[in-house]
Amino acid sequence: MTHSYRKPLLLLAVTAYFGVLLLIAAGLWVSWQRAGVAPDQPIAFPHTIHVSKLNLPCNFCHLFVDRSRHAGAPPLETCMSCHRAIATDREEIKKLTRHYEEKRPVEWNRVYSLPEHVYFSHKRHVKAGVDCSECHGKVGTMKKIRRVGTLTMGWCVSCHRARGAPRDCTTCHK
Amino acid sequence: MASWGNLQPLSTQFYSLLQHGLFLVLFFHLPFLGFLIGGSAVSLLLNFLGKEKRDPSYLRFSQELMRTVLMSKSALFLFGLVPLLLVWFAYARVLFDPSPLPWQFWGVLLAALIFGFAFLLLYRSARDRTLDLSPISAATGAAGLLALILAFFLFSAGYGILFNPSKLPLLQKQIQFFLSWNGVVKFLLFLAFFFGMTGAAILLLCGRSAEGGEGTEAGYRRLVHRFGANLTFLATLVLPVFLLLDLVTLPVVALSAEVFVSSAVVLLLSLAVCLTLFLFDGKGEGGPGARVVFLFVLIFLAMLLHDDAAVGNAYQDRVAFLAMQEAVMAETGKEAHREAPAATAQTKADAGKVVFETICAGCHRFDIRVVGPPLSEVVPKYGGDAEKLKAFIRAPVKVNPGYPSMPRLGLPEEEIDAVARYLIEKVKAGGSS
Repeated sequence: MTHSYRKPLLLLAVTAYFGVLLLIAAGLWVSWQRAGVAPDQPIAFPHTIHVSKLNLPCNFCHLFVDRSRHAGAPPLETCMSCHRAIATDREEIKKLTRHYEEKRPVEWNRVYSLPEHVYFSHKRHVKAGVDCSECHGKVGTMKKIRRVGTLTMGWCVSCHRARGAPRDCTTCHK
Repeated sequence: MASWGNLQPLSTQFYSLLQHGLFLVLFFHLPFLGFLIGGSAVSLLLNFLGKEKRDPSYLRFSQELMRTVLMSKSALFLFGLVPLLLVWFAYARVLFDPSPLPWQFWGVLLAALIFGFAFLLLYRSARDRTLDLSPISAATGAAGLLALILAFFLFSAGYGILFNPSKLPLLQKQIQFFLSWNGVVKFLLFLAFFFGMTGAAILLLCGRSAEGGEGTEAGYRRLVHRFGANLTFLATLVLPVFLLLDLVTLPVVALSAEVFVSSAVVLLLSLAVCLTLFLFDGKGEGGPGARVVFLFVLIFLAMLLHDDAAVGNAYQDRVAFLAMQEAVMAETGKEAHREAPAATAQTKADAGKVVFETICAGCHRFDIRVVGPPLSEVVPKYGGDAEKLKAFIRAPVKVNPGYPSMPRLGLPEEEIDAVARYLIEKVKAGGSS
């Protein structure tokens, strides 16, 4: 009698097991999508044109990258210094101009963010000769910016170890 | 190794051909290696069990399995060693890097493979001769198996690098960076697949040696079937766990919807394998062997498509960069063709005008401020010195804080020369008029 129940029960258990695994996979998918690896931006700024076609250096727009902890998004004045005259008929530039005229800053969505307990300085990394693309990838090929590094501690420490940079706790955790 | 320095992919098409080709080679190479690892491990286990239980059926099964696994030496060469050379070649190019893994890595991998193959051949011939195997022969088999597992571990670690381009610069500084959690997970994932596949192959191929006419055939077949089914079932339960761990450990750049979908397909196919084992757990010709083997082929295909998509994602920036370079080269080729007759002074002046109108006029006019200052104001500061003006165009520096910095334009020298002369001439003419 017990034997006749065994098979359907096992079948049920196996199906439930795979069901749970599928749910976990779906959960990983959702968490990956929510992680905002490539979030939409209020203005579709193409790095492809500005970096690859015009050869603008990164600090042409990210003014503080070699002077401060934060690379900084450019002030609208920087964009408008060229776009008062260039491509003014394009929809995205019209959006930009409206922001500028209404004195309303563009609320860019962060692609790279570190937790509060991590101290990171762009200035130090630029001065040490780390190329921007080592952490940010080839942004000149990205129509929409994507996060390419994991930003985990292991990711930071691997590079510090390979370059012989300090690995004391206090280097990054002040 | 310097000779590998110029081994860049020739074009984006060639790159994608190489990338997919790599996975095509792996589609034949890995199952072969997997059956060798799985089959030898099971044969050694059966040998141990047969001696413990004093049951000759186990020993006979161990012998039959080894005969099935190592059918010919030429297959070892063809499916075991040749693909490795192709993988090596494809690696160097797919990674856009001539020597991400030093020759010592490939040397140890190849040596371990050859050592493993040789020792397993010795084990097979000893196994073939007698059911009562000496401990030394069993140890030979175990040594061969361990060598193959070591080779496969190295292969998996190197395979893990394929998904993580940001590791390449680190690898060149310190070799231990070839180890990664993703590489370890891939090793375990493939190992689980190998054992599942071996179980499926046992169900399909073994237990048919009724021709021997040894009697107790039904009992032997039952043993083989039970062993194959249990092995397949257990491996199929474990495999999806490593698949999920693979999703967790893959670098964020390698993930995409395709990667998740192909993982879900592997999960569903694994469920199908388990259900097939339950529903066709029978007897004789209607057994699950062929169906399970077919499902395992599909599982492996989905696993490789998963990896192929992940590598494609990880390298999309580099391939896009390659495509841009191609576009620039095509453009330059056209321009060179167009400017070929630019020999006389007149055409040079025309070339300067063309450069001005296509490049400079976006930001500069002669009479008014656009983005940059009016040229009739700034060009006279060079006092007709074309060399000085050319130096500025080549590498602009910020002069007037009231204007944004002029970007470096990266123009070819002849265009810089032509536009500088054009500007000086034009401003001179404009000033006199």
